[in-house]
Amino acid sequence: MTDLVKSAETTAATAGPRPAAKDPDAPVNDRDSLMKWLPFISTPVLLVVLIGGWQFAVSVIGVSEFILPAPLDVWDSLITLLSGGDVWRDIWITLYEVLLGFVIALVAGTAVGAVLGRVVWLERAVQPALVALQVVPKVAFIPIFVIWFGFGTTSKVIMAAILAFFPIMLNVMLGVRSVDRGHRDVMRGLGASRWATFRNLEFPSTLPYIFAGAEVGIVFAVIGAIVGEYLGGSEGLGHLVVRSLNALDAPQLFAVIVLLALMGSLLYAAVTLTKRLMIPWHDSVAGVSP
Amino acid sequence: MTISVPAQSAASSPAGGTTAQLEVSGVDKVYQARRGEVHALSHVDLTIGRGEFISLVGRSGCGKTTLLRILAGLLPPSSGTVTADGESIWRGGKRNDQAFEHFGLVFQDANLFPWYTVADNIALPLKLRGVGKKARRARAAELCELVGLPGFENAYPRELSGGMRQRAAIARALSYDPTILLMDEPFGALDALTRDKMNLELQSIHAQAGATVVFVTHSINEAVFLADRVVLLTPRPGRIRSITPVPLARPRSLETETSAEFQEIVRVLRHELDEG
Repeated sequence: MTDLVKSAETTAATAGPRPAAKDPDAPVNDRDSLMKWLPFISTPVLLVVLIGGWQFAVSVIGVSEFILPAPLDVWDSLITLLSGGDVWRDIWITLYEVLLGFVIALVAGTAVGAVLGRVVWLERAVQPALVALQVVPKVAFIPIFVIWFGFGTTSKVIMAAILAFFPIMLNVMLGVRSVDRGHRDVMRGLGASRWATFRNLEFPSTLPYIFAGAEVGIVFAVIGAIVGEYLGGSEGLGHLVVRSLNALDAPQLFAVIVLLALMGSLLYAAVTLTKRLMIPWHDSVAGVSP
Repeated sequence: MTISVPAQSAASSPAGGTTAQLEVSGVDKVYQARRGEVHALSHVDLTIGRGEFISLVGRSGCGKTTLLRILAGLLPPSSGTVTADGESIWRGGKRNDQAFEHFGLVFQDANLFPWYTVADNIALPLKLRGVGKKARRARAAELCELVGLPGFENAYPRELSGGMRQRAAIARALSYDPTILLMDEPFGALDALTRDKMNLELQSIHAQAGATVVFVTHSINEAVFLADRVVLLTPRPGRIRSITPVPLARPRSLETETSAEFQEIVRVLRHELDEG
């Protein structure tokens, strides 16, 4: 939803009046292409500054190696982990929990959101309960899930699914209600059946909202799985973090966090890529803004 | 006040002795508003002949859009009947989908679906009728040519200007050869130059397709330029004030608007509109 709002703002901004004179056209184009490439230049620069500052803190200021291991030590630890083989099992387990939880949330969130978006009285009836569920810190339930579903992957999958469910469900509910009235008139005027209206109008018009929810949902699913692994269980990257902590192995702790960050980024990128492929027509994809 | 109610019912039949295609009789529309009832339409009688071009004019809020939406089957009348080719389009408050087989609608907004290309938008009504993909593409290309959008088949609506979108919307309405075309201020959002151009094109499309057209506008010039008969509605409650035949020769050009005859019709209509 935030994405939609953002894109609406940015398109409104770009659609606004351009400088009136004829000659600023070329500079504007130059600036546009610069804006497009800016992230690709700034991101490596930021990374270099970050790692450089990190190395500086360790070797010049002399921060304790336990508090902040040197970047190279973390790199070595990462290579050792990845070549060791055991970590791949943990990666796979966390990935499995995240993906399964996310898919459950996507299906359930879309279904529940679609129903609540259409049946107004039902939405009114369950709204207080929904708000209550939303404001409750859901990770607090993990111990209960561990009691109910054991220390295995199930409790983590459920945590990931619950966290990802709400943003998806809320966005779909909004999407179902945001079908354009004029578009509805077109379909009604053509005497379209319910199924034809769903296929040609309601589904495509709700897709951007599903993706907006999914982009938030995948991030939440990663959080749910990791926090689940922190609190209970014996496998997964989250548990590897806890193990590294107990062994006071700071470089490995940092290395696993790097792995988690990579996993989260790649999953988010996968959702965004799917969005680009599925709704190339939408402002959030086709707009001037990146 | 020269045209009183009896004179009106004489004029409410189509000119030139053509057969009736759309018949509106005794149509009332009452809205339930918060402050009681709003009488949007009061006892509207109108018979529209086959191939005729009718313009509906009036101030905003006079019920012209309401009347068009009733004709289009988007809004049930409170009482009265509407028949198309002898078939009632409303049956006890329910839309008779079969009667709308040959209707084409164009709205104030183009209402193109942003997820479909221009060609897919134009051919959407054909898709709903189960026409195959190849035939749909061929028809879309043909219509793009007709409405002046050649080569834009694969563009998305967001890439088109307002006028081009409206052309695509007209092409969509024409895709299944409707015999009745209902248009609700289709050029209202366009600039004057584009509007003139669209009016000329609409005239030639009407001549080629031969469909009956009901065209809602608040521009008297536009109404007179396009129409065989101009129907003037007055507000609160919306009722037919007058029906004015426009005997100007076709095809009309922009010079037609400067002719004394044209100016006189516009003058009389404007006077009637001012009187309310």
